[in-house]
Amino acid sequence: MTVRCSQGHENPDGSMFCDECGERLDQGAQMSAPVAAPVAPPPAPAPIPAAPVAPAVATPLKLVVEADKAVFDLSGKSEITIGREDAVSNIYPDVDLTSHGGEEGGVSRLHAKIYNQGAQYMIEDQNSTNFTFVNKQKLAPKTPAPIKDGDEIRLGRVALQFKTS
Amino acid sequence: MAGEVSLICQMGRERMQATGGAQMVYVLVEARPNDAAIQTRMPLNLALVLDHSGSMKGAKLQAVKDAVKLVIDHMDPQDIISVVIFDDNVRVIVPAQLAADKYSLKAQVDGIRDGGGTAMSLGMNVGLTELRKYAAPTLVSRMVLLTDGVTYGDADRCRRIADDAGASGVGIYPLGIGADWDEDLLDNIGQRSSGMPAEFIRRPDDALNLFSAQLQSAAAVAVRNTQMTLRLAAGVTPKRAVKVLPIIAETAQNTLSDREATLNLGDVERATPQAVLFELLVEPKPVGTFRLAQAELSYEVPGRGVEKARADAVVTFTNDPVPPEETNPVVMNYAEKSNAHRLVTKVLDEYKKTGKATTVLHPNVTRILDPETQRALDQLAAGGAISQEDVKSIGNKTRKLTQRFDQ
Repeated sequence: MTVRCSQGHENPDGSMFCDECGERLDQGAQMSAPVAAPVAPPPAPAPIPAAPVAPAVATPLKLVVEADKAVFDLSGKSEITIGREDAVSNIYPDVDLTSHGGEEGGVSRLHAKIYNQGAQYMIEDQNSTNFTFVNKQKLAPKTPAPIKDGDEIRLGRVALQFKTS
Repeated sequence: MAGEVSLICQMGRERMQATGGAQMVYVLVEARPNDAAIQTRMPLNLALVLDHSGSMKGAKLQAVKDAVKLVIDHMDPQDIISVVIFDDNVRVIVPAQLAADKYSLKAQVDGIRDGGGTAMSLGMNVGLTELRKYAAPTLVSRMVLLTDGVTYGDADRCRRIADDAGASGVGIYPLGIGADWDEDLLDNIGQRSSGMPAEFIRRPDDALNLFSAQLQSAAAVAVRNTQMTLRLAAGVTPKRAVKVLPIIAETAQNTLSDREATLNLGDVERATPQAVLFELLVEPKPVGTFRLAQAELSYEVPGRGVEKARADAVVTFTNDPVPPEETNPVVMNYAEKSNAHRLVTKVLDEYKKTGKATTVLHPNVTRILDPETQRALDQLAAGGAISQEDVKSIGNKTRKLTQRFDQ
């Protein structure tokens, strides 16, 4: 019995990582019945292609890393997680700041969430170690706060710009 | 008295589902020195074998001379030192002797001038001769081999000398300086002799630190001639054995047989655990608890003979699916990093041979690498070129991935 990675490389059952490309092979993937949540492919630093199945709001939705101007295109997503990917804890945030200064900048693995209530976007700190700031105001953990186009969001020491235009 | 080193087995998963098919099982075997049970520092028998070819001229040679003088300053008077220099000839600058008269030893090092070509085997051969004058089981005998270039036509002879050195308990610790040395040969020399793969002196200023690190590592040796053996139960075959601590090193396939895997770990140093990750293929098992393998560590305590430690690798097979959270995060972390090391090495090897790299790495490999390495790999993936220095630096850093342990 074998388990395949998303590129189709075959690996013995029970393998943790693909021998050919290094992709993590979820344990769920090797069992005959598909398990609820297969590991999503981790986001690349390049813009993420939108999957507009049921766009929550029709407007574009982007996060821009201030330091390196990397753009995360999140249009069509109804809930966005921001943090640092960690295969060991099975955390794959929509916006992975690992390669954008996340580790040195004190970004927690699951740092904050953005979602919308109608046309209003909200951000909620996820009990992060180094806190979430909106326009330099510190947010209370686990307490949603409204955000709008052009706001500066800072996770620890990493600053992002929130854009809906 | 045994107990200088403890042996610990950790399973990737202690419980697994009996799927009716063959499965991969991960076993991390760790040899952990017990600093309390380890006695005094062993005297050292150190040979410094230095390239002084014409290309070393200037800052490089000066930095090396300064570093060697610092090593002399920090040696104990009962330690033995010898200094050998080579270009296309070889000369013994300091014959093996007690590191007692530091002033005159340093004056001799100061007299080194840059010379002709590079014939490394000559230097290694004479260095080994100097080490053998005092070699004894109660001494830590090591050769520090420094070069900045490619040796001419005697690479095979260098490898044979490395084998010889290993057989007589002399580990070779290569240092490459500049961008033109042959990392495959130097790594190979280190590994064949049970020393270490090459360290990279990128800038002359780094020489002091790396020479000091060599001295500290030799002075921390606790037990010697360490061997790890994993004996396998029926229906268990070894797929791979990778040393993950203190640095990542793939082991040659010939250390793996059907019944067991044996690895030579050489010296174990105080406060420096050694660990090997074994990937085993296990034939279908019924429900129940099985000992899949037994690990054994044998090591020599100077003056007191051989000691042994054992540990079992046990897995319970169940009918129920086992949740992914039961995967041991420590084992998984080492599996992730040794896999990343293997794949990056594959990319570099391909690039060195063909000038291109076609292997595409998954983002969860590249994300654990440092930004400099990521940039270089991106360049390769885009069909670009990277410098010789980048090739060496990436290889060196990727080996040390396990030294930075993420929570």
